[in-house]
Amino acid sequence: MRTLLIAEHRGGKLDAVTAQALTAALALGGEVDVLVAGAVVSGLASAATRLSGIARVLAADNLGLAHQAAAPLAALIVSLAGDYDTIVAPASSIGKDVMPRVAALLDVMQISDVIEVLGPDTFRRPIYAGNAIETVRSRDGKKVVTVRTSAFAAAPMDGRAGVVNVAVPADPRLGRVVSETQKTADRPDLGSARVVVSGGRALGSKANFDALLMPLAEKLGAAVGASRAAVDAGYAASELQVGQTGRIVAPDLYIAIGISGAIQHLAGMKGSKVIVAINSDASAPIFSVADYGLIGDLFEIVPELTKVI
Amino acid sequence: MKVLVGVKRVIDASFAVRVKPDGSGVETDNVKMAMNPFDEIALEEAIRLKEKGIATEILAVSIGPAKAEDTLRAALAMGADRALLIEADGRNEPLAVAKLLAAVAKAEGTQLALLGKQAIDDDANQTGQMLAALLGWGQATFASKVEITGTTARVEREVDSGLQVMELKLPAVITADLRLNTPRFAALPKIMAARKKPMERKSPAELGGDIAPRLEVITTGEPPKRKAGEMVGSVGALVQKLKAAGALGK
Amino acid sequence: MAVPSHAQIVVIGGGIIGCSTAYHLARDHKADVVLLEQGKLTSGSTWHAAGLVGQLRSSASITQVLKYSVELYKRLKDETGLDTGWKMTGCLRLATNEDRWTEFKRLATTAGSFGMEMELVSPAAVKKMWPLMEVGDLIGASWLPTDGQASPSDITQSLAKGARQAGAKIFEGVTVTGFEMTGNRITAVKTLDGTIRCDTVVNCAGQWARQVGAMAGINVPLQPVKHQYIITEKVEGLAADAATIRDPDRRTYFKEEVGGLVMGGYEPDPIPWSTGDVPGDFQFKLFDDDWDHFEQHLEAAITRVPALAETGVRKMINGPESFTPDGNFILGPAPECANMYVGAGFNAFGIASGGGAGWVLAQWAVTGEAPMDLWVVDIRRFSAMHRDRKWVNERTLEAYGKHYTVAYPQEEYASGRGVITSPLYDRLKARGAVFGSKLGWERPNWFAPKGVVPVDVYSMGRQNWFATVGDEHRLVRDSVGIFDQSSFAKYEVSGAGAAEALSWICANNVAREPGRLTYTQLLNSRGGIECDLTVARLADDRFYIVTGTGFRTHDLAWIREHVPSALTVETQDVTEDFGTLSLMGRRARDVLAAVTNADVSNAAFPFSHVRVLPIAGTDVRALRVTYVGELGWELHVPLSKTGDVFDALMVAGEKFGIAPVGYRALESLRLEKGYRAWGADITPNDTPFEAGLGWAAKLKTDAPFMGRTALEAAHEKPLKKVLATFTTRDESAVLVGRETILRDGQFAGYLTSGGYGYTLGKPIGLGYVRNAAGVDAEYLKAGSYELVVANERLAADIHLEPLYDPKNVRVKA
Repeated sequence: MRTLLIAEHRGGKLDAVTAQALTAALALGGEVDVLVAGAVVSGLASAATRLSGIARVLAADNLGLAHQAAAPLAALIVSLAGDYDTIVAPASSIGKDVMPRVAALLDVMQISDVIEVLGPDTFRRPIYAGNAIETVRSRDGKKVVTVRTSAFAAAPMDGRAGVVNVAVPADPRLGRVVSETQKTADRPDLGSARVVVSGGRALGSKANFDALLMPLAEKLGAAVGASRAAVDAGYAASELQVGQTGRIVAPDLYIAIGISGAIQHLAGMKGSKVIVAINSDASAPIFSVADYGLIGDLFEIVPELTKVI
Repeated sequence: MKVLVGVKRVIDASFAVRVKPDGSGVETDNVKMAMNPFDEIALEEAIRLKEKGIATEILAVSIGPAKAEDTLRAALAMGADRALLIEADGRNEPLAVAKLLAAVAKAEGTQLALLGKQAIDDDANQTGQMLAALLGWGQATFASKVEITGTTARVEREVDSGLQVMELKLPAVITADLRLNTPRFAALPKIMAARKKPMERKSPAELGGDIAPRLEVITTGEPPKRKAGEMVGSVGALVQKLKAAGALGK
Repeated sequence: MAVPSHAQIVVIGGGIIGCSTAYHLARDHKADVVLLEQGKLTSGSTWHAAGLVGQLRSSASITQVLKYSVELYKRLKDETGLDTGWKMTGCLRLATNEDRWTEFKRLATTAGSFGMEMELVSPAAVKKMWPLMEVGDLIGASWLPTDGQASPSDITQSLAKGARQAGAKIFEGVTVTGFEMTGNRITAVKTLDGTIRCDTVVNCAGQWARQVGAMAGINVPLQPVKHQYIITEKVEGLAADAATIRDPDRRTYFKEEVGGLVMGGYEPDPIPWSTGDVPGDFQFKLFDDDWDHFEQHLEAAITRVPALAETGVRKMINGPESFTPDGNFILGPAPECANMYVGAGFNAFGIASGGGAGWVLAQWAVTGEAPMDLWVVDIRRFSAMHRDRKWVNERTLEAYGKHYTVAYPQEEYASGRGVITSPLYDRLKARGAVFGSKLGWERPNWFAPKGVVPVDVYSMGRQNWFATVGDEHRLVRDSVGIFDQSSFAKYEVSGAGAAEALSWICANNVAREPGRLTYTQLLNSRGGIECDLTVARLADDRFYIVTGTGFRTHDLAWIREHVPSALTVETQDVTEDFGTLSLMGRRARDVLAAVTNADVSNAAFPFSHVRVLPIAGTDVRALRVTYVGELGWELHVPLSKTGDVFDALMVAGEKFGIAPVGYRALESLRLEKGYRAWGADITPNDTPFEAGLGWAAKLKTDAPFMGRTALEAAHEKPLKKVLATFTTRDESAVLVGRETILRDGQFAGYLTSGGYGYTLGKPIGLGYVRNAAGVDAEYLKAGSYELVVANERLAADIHLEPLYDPKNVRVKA
């Protein structure tokens, strides 16, 4: 049984979610190859060879893959799919964009957002914003799977696989990426950070959001997240949104500041190991998932916390 | 330009779901249902395109049980021109739905398919992408802004790294994300008029294609419960607890 | 989480009623109270209630309860820090036809009677208050400025906080699984988190109240019904303090909500929710939108508020609300259990009632006595038939459908008929009987002569039966008639201690020698009249009690509860063992003598006596008593023989033109005699002296009896109100009750009964004349009176003696 894992990368570096998705891929039990696809991939491919337990790295180098757009990337994966039983990708925005296209082209169903691999064809995945977990078995000959990487530990980087170059099919030319904002790399990525400091609407303004949370995040080496309400109000960029339809995170430590804890926000962070909630409203639902709760004025508490930590 | 919008009937997002103790699924009896919120956003976008004179006809399509008719009537009330119910009880997987929508899009000469990015019940986030693949169309998922000029769609997408702007040639599939728009509420006369509008119906068989489920749901259970937490009285106490729990790490 | 092992009172249910009751128990009575809520507070019906607060009902006591709610919602914020969202927006009720307008005129008068200001305003005035309203079809509107709206959840949380502040303990997430009982007394409440020993349980479990009650063997006849309303987006031009609107002719209501409107309705074809058990986890849940069913309200709404044509609908709420078979809520001590009180079934005015209902229910549960006359909502107004869930369902849905219809006087329900019929049913039907129903019994209201359709045609004026009832009335006055009063509630009280027990609970001397029949009241600790009935002594240790049809459960419960437990007494309900034929009129003795060989002369069978007479081959209990003021007997016949006795009487009376007569004639006859009706003229709020029944209390003896102390204390002081009879000079006036009494142009009270006396040829009403400084015969005679009838002042005369045969010559013939 052979599995193809689609590597996630950004700015010339392998993204941490690749190693997490690899853990899931390895759990399927077969041989795992990793596909590194992009515009200039030799460095990435080489880094990928150190992923633990993999058989091969497939390198696909083509300008048309520069932005990991769905149509060309799906065409590439489909061209390779014949050799594999299962194709796995992290459930990142790229994975979510591409993989269903792959599945449909292969005429198979996709199993999205897997949190546990029970066997080569059996998986557990969250539904209803994580308020229920379904165990599904795929009847398809080939499987297409995306992985909720926050549910898996990263595989170590102690491997030594070889690299194989693969041909890239012609770009179907259905669209092009005009621009892409690159977020500054000064903060750890939300999806893989060990600590996340997250702010809600109670912060009141973008200026407050930045002034209060950045120093704390800095001191903790944390990524910064936001509730939907804070993003909607313009205090934080959309890619910081933690929630069912934003980023799903499971850091070791999640500090929710001025976040009331709406169900869809909880869905995005309740897998965190330790949750701290700081809120002035004692009846805020966030306290129902917090390991430690502190009721009070965040404008006093956060600076104090930043100082003491 | 003819626009197709997919709408799904799901449990109303404001209600907590109850997992049935026998593992057979989530309770749906005596539960308030509603249009999938992302589908409402997709439909709203289609209506705005119509108001701008870009879309000429909006066809709302739902694959579901007979009661999905209510959802389609809500779509008509919001401003869809036509509604098509493809009646199929039971579990309708994204692949099956995409195949049926593809058949409709081909027959209708659809130029733009607008879908919600995911349904809040299965959280699959697949149907739009699969539809694009089956039709051989381009796709722009997680759209937060859509501009159509001639046969080009310029779509801003919310991605992990920030915002990406894509240009697509029509026909194409766009899936709606949260911040694409705020859907309007249908006014009473429109709700009333919608109840009298024709409801088109097709069976899956008529549209061809195999829609049998590929996944078997073995069991549905509750998520793990977090153990109860504790309140602390001060920042100092908090830091102490975190240090003791090893949460402040290295 | 563990619950306490003991509490004085356990309240089950954390909606507005439960929290209000717990609040008042803790605050007013310093009770040790525990409230158990299976989910979270408000998660049943309270959280999705629309929140309108309308104070005016047709009962003075209930109006008082609702007024209290308003006062409470105003002051809760200061007490607990949590606002209730109370807004005194006032309420406009719209009238689009004459019958409705008449109803409003009477309502305005009622409001005045109950101390509230309700104005009748013109369509132009309505338009000024509510510019967005279409008023072209209005005759006018009633305007009650002190009505308003509030937030159901906020009120409940505020009450809960107040309850906690006063020491009550509230537990959420606790499910009651049953009760430990000794006989019919609850000793402990069982929950999944532990058992709580307690003295009293108050069942405020809302749509689960029936199921919770069933665990203690009690019945709570409520039916959850699906009620829908929509919430719209902001409506341009809608004032933030816009009055709440009730548009009953279109069956819809409107309330301002965050700049938009809440709009709902009461359709004639409501959809019930679950005649089976309501699942315990139906918390914070709603039903699927049912636009098909709601459609009937949409047209009405848009026509009334055209701006809705452009306004979006934010949400549709379709949730369960508990309704009852008669539209009144359910309060008080369940008769089947020694210590369970109930507060449930609020017919969609639970938010208006919540504050006040908790207030009176708390007092009731702690003292064992209702603090005021609450008969209309008393749980003891039901009987065994209310355990029939199908019946309850049908009748409740009809009641729901009538929520906004014009309430015509004498209106009868159409559903759930024929539950209990006397053996005479077919005979009476063949004679044109038009039946009404009371506590399940089919009772003839009047008899349509040949050529007249035997159907009530309701109207606000004199109805189609008016003249015919006059004929029945005259037949009884001039000759003889038969009333089928088989529906009377009847009990047998027997045992060695029966005489002593009845002497204690009855105000009059009912323990005279066997063969004597006594009319008496039973009083509460305030001296108020709890029961009004006759006691016939059949033997040294056997008594036969007869009371009004509707009081069957109530009076029996009162008697059993207050019979001293040390005495050997057995009380049995024999209501359905006997038919009752009331033979009344100057020819009654002639007829009776012809059917029995017993001596029925006045000497042998004087008034206020009971004899057993053989009639038509049966032994019949003949009670010489009258409620119409004529010579006559109530003949209590073993049920199966009722027909035979009736036939014999009809044959014997043929030459006198005897005929069966109905309850509407009865009403008119008794008004002419000033005979009091319990629940209307005499209630637990009224003492015998106020009611002119002081002669029926055995104060001249030393004998102790329930209420004696209060009566004696009251005797020292001047009476604050006295019951009198009134007639209007205008012979066409239609009196229905609650008409305001003016004495020298000042408010002096209101009518408790209203009708017409055919012998007198005048409208008659009974009512208390009130004066804080004291009322006596002098005071009564010195005034000049008017009655406000449907908002119109009519000249009236007061009468301190019965209008017909004041010396009772006929009665004692």
